[in-house]
Amino acid sequence: MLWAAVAVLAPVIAAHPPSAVDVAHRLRPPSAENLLGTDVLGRDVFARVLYGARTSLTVGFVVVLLASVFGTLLGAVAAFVRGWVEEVLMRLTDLVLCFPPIILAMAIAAALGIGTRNTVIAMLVVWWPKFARLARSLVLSQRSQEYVAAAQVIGFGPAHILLRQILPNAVGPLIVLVTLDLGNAILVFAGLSFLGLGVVPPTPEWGSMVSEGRELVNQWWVATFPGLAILTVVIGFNFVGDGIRDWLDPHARRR
Amino acid sequence: MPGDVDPILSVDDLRVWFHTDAGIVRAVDGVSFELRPGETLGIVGESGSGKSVTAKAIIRLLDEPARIAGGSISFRGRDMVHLSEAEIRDIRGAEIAMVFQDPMTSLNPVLRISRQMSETMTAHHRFAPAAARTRSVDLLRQMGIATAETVVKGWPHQLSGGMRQRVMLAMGFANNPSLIIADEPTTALDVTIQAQILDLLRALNRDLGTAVILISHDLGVIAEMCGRVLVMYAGEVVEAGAPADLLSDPRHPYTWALLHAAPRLDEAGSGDRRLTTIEGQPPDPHAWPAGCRFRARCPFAIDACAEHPALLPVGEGRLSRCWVTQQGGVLHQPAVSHDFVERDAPADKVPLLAVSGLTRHFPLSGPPRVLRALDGVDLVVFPGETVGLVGESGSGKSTLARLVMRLDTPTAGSIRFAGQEIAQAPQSAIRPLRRRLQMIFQDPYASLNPRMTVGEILEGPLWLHGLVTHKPAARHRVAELLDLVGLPRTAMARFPHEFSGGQRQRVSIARALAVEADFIVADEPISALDVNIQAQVLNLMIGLQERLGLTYLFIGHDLAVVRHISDRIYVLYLGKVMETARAETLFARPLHPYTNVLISAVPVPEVRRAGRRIVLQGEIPSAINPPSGCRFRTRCPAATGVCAAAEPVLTEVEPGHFVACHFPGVVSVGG
Repeated sequence: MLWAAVAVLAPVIAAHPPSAVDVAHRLRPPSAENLLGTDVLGRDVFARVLYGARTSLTVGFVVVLLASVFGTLLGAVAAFVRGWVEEVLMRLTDLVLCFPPIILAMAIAAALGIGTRNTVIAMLVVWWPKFARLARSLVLSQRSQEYVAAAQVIGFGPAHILLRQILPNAVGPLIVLVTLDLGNAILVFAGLSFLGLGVVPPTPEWGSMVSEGRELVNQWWVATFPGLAILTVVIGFNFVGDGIRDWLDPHARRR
Repeated sequence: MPGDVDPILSVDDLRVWFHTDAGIVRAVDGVSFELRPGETLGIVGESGSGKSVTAKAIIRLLDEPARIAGGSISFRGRDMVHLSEAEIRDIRGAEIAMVFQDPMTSLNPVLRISRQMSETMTAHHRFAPAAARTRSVDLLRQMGIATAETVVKGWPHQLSGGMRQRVMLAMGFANNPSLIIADEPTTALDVTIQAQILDLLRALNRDLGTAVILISHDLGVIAEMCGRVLVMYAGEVVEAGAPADLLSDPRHPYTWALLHAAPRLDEAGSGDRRLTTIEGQPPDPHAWPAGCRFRARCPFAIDACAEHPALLPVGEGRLSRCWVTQQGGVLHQPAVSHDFVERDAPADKVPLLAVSGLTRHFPLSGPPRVLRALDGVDLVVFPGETVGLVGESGSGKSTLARLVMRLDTPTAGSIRFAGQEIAQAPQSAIRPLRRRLQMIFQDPYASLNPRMTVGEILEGPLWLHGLVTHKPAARHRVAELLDLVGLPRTAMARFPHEFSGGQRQRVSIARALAVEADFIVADEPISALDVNIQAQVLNLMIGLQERLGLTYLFIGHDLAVVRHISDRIYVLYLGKVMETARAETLFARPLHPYTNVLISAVPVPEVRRAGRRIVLQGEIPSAINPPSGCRFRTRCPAATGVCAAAEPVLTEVEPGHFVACHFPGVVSVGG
């Protein structure tokens, strides 16, 4: 959560613009002037880490939110309609899920070309089946509950029953998956950037920063600080996810 | 029971407390009793009375946050409260066995029966593995399982509920325990299977001399099995004595209420259809009221009841915790009102619902087979009457309900509701009819959406069917509905989980009435509720019928309840109607052997006259490959060659009384 604040406040905290090239001061170690040192082009690492939070968090949120909405709807519809619709949708998820996610995202990102938007699209394609799977199983288990039959008896149509009656009872585990996956998405995005498939170069992004710094063994700060940023964000989201899961689980809440 | 034998179990002033966030719940609050070898003790009470917790405390099966807060439990001279966990394990399963309510979850689904049974025996080092395996087969045979060799090699999911309960009993008896505790062992079973299991338990008690503690909410079950009964209420024993005394002359108002709240098969069906109920709910276990805990609901309460009564002798071998009876007061019989409205069969009217040849086959995957859930059923319901539908699980009752509600589409046959054919009609054509055709579901915990408030649940149908046009009108109507079913208006803003089962079922009824339905299908609406709450809900349904002229199709497995509420009854077996008649006729002169068997299987709260029961052998056959000819012949005591060759047709033997049997009236309970 600290990182979200950091992302918003980046321009206030950072003493230097993230893309200001200052070749004279390249590869300076951490100092009072440049808290975390400077990189190959003399850009302030501290500022770039802060601005990088913006890119990483935004991409993470966008990917996971879009994927969860899209995946949940498809999965829910599959479970509710059954029959061939379910077959087609679920085989589609199988198709995507049988590739290693990073490799598939790499392939798609490479095909679409470099750029944040294309990377987001590539990650979406890889991401939605998870949610479709989970949503399908949740809706299936709710479908057989008597309140669903009761709603049918009252005369509610299928859309109302699915969206207003069943889904509110299925969102709990989905929300947990969303929070746990935010960290994951940031990690994958950083991975893609590291491989040069993510952002267009001047944009500060943790993955690409690590990539730039990986050859510079003596200038450890260039790669270490963005790496630490990735680490803390992912751990943070995992804790938040665990927390929400405990909070939503009545058994864990009893004490 | 001989009084000079030392008790094997003596419980003295047992207190079990639950340490919860909301405070301490004194679930068991000073319970004392003794049990002698070979004795049968029944503990009866409603949910939350502490009967199961008492049983679990005996073998220390309590989970956090429950703790034994005081008192002593002595089993054959050993102090059960202070034994180490290892010592308790040696007693559990070996000297004290326990059988639980739910046979579906108490067997491990991934282990074969033989493995589970042998482990029980070898765990206590009483039997070598090989001996244990042979003994498993012997035990199963002793439990009345004919195909013991096959069963022992199988998995739990291949067995029916009754069979699993037999396996559980076999495991319970495996180490020749001196005490077996059975916690509602037959509650999840059909009456016919319940009768088999109770017979078995009685025979085992007689032949092996094993003492039995039987826990049940059903006074009838207890009365048939036990030599002595404890009645529990709000964590205390309120009455103790022999079943015959308790049932003929209860000395505690709660026992009195239990006895009169349940409709009984052995009582004439005349008089008011309303049952005697005690109002209200059991007290809040976080803070038991001072004074007598039953006082708030007690119709006999006097001034002295403000002080907490002690459990004192009120006669030969009898104890009661009541000021009134301790002072020699008498609990009168409930007044039976005689201003009984004669409810005639509306012979000349047009039926509201007419079902004919209704069939539902479920195709199964694999080799082409079909499950014949319902096979050509004819049924009519006239406006304003209550039609009961009875049968064991698997007889097709619920399938019929789902078809009538068109939650499912029939394979063949016709359903005419108010003159309109709806058997194959699309949902869009049925939706307008939903205003008249409603349903009350079995499970009050699953039939209300947990994420919606009661107000939202009741408002939904109003908006949908355009019965209200603005918010204040909707709220007004919801308030009216809540009044109608006897719930406070504050219920509107609360969620279903804040209510008890009985209150939820009232919400369910209010939902059905929201659209001003006149025909309501009730699928076992009270089977998940306690006896007193059952009576309250039944009374509500009867009252609403009289005020609003409702028509009910009432599905149930409790024959006494179905007879009580119904004008006419259909008896279903394996997807076919076996017999149908007016309720009084059906119970006075049952002609089909199956009807006779069902009636005789019902436990009655009285000491049973010998030889009255016909215990049905075996279980309901599979509907995938039903028997040829008469479907009941495989279990029928009167079956002959004709029954296998030709299927009996449903014929009228007297006006309004139809039976499908080649030899009607041959088997009889002589009722």
